[in-house]
Amino acid sequence: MSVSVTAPAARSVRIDDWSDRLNPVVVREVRQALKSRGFVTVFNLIMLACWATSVLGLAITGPGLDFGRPAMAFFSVYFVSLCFAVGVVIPLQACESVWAERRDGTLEVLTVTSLRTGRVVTGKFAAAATKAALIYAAVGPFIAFTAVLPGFDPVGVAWALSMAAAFAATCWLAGIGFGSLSRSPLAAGVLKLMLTAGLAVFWLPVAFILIALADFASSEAFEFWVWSVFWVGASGLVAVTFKMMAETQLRRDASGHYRDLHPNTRSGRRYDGVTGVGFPAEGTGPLPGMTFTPEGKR
Amino acid sequence: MSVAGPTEAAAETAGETAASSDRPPLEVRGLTRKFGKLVAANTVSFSVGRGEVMGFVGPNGAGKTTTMRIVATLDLPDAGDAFVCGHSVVDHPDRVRRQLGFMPDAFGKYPNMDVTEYLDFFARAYGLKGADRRDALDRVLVFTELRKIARKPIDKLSKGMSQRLGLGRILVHDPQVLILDEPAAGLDPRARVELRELIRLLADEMGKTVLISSHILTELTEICDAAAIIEAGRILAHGHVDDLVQKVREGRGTTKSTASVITVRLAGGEDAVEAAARWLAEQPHVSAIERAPGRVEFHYDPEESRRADLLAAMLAAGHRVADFHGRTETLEDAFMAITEGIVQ
Repeated sequence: MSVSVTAPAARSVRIDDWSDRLNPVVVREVRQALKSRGFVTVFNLIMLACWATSVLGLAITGPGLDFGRPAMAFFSVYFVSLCFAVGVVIPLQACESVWAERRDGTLEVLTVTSLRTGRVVTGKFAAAATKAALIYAAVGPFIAFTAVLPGFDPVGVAWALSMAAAFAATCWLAGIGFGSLSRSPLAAGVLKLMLTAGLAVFWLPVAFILIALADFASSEAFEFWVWSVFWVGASGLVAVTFKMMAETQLRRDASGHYRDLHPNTRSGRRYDGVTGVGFPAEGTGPLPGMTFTPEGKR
Repeated sequence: MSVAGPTEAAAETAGETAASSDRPPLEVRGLTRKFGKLVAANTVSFSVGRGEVMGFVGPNGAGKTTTMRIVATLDLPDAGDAFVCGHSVVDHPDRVRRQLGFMPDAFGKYPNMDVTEYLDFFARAYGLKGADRRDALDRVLVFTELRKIARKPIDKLSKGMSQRLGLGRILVHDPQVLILDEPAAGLDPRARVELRELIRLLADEMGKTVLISSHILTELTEICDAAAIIEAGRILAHGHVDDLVQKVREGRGTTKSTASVITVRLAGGEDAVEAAARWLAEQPHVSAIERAPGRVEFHYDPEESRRADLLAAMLAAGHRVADFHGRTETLEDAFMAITEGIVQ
C-alpha cells in the first residue's frame, strides 16, 4: 500500500499503526461485524427500539412526566433492549463465530500462524466486548436523556450497566465455549439451541432483577456492595471456566494433541493447556496438569 | 508473537541461524503416524533443497496430507521428526511456523472481508507491524496479481483467484518453505498454468523450497525438480524427476514392464501396416503389437541405440516409415511403474 503525504493518509497510517497493538482477531472480527448484516440489523433494531420508546413514551406520558420516577421507567426499557443485544445476540454471534472457524477450516490456517489458541479466544472475547461497547455507545445517548427526567438515579443506573456488562462478559465466553465444543453440524445446532435457551432463561430474568435492585445501589448499604462484588466474582469464575474450556477444545481440535506422549517430545507439551483439562484419548499419557514448555503452547 | 525475553530471544535467533545454515530447508526423517491400526505414514524420509520444488505424489489415502500436516505442525508424529530450516516440528513448532507457509487443499474464507483485509489479518497474525506489514501486503498483492481486485469480497472470488489468495496468505510472512496440498485441484487450465508459473517463480527467483502434492502428474512433471512417490504410507521412490524417470526407463527398482511404447506410421495403406506388423513380430524384444489405421504400435526396449537399430532395420527391409517415435516417459509413467495401487 503506497503511503501518500496528505494529512488524511498520514492520519490513516497512524490509526493503522496504532491498531497493531490490538489482537489481530479483534481487528478482523470488528471489521467483519461492521459489514455483517446480522450485527448491523441488531444495531439498527436497538436504535429503533430506543427511539420508539423515547417518542412514544413522551407522547403517552405527556404532562405526567413531572410525577413519579419516569427516568427509571424509560431507563428500564432502554436497559432491557441493551441487555438483549449484549447478553443474547452477541453471545450467540460469538458461538457462531467460533463454530465457523472449526467448520470452515480457518482454525487450522490460524493455527499455523504465530497466533496461539489463547490469543484466538481472547480475541474473540475482545471482539464481543467491542461490539457490546458499540451497542452501549448507541444506547448511551438515550440513557443520558433519562438524566434530565425526574427520578434519575445515577448510582443505580451506573451499577445496573456495570453489572450487566460483567454478567454479559460471562455470556460471551459461554458462547465461545459452546461454539468450541463440537464440529458436527447436528451437535452444534443442539448446543446453540441449548445456549439460546440458557441465555433466555438466565439473562432476561437477570436484566429485570438488575433493574429492580438498582434502587438499592444508592442506599450505600455495605452488604449490597459485598454481594455485588461476590456475584461479579462468581460470574468471573464461570467466565474463566468457559475460557479454559474453549482454549482446550480449540487447541485439541487444531492439532494432534492429547494423544499418547510422543517419544521424541522431551516435555509434556501435548498437555500444554494452562487449564490442564485435556485428557489423552487413549489414556496412556501422564495426567493433565503436568508441566509444559512455552514452545508447546498453541 | 514470541513472548520470550531479550536473552531468550537472542538465544532463539542464534539457534535459528545455526540451525538453518547448513541443512536442507526441509528434512523429513522416519516420520510415522498411526491412526489406530492404520499406519498413515510409515517411516517417511526425504529432504528438499533450497530453491527446489518437490512433488509429493501418491494415490488417495497414501499419507501425503498426513505427512504435510505433520510438517506444518498441525499434527504430531508417533515416531520420527521433520525439520524446517533446521527446527524440529516436534520440539519447536513456533520456530517452524515462522519459516513455513502451509496451504491446505481446502481453506475456509471469512465472510464480510475483502482481499486486502484478509491478507492484512494474516500479516498481523504472523506478527508483522506498521510499515513492515504494509510492505508485505504490497509485495504479496503485486506478486499474486491480486492488486486489481484488492477490495473485492473474498467470498465472491473465483476458484483460481481464491488459490492466488491462499498463496498470498502463506507468502505474507516471507517463509522459506512452502507446503502446498493439492493447490491445482478444481482449477481451470488457465488458472493451473498461472499457478504453475507462480510456483516456479517462487522457487527460481525467490529461492523458496516447495513441497507440493497433486494428482495431476503432468502438471508436476513441468514444475517439479524432484518427486517423492508415496503409497500406503511408505516412500517408494524419491529423487530428481529425471532420475526417477530414468530409473523407470532402465527398469531398475520397479516390478512392472518398463518397455517404451513406440508408434510407427506407415505410407502405403493397411497392407503396409500389416506387412510391418508381421515383420515386427519376428524381431527380438518387440511385444504387444497393435494395429491401428495407418500405424502400428508396439513395446520395445527403451534404450535409444536399439531403437535406432530397429528403425534402420525396418527401412532396410523396405517398409515405408513416415513417422517413428517413442513416447517420452514422464513422472506419470514413473508413478504407474512404481506404485502397486494399494489402498489402505
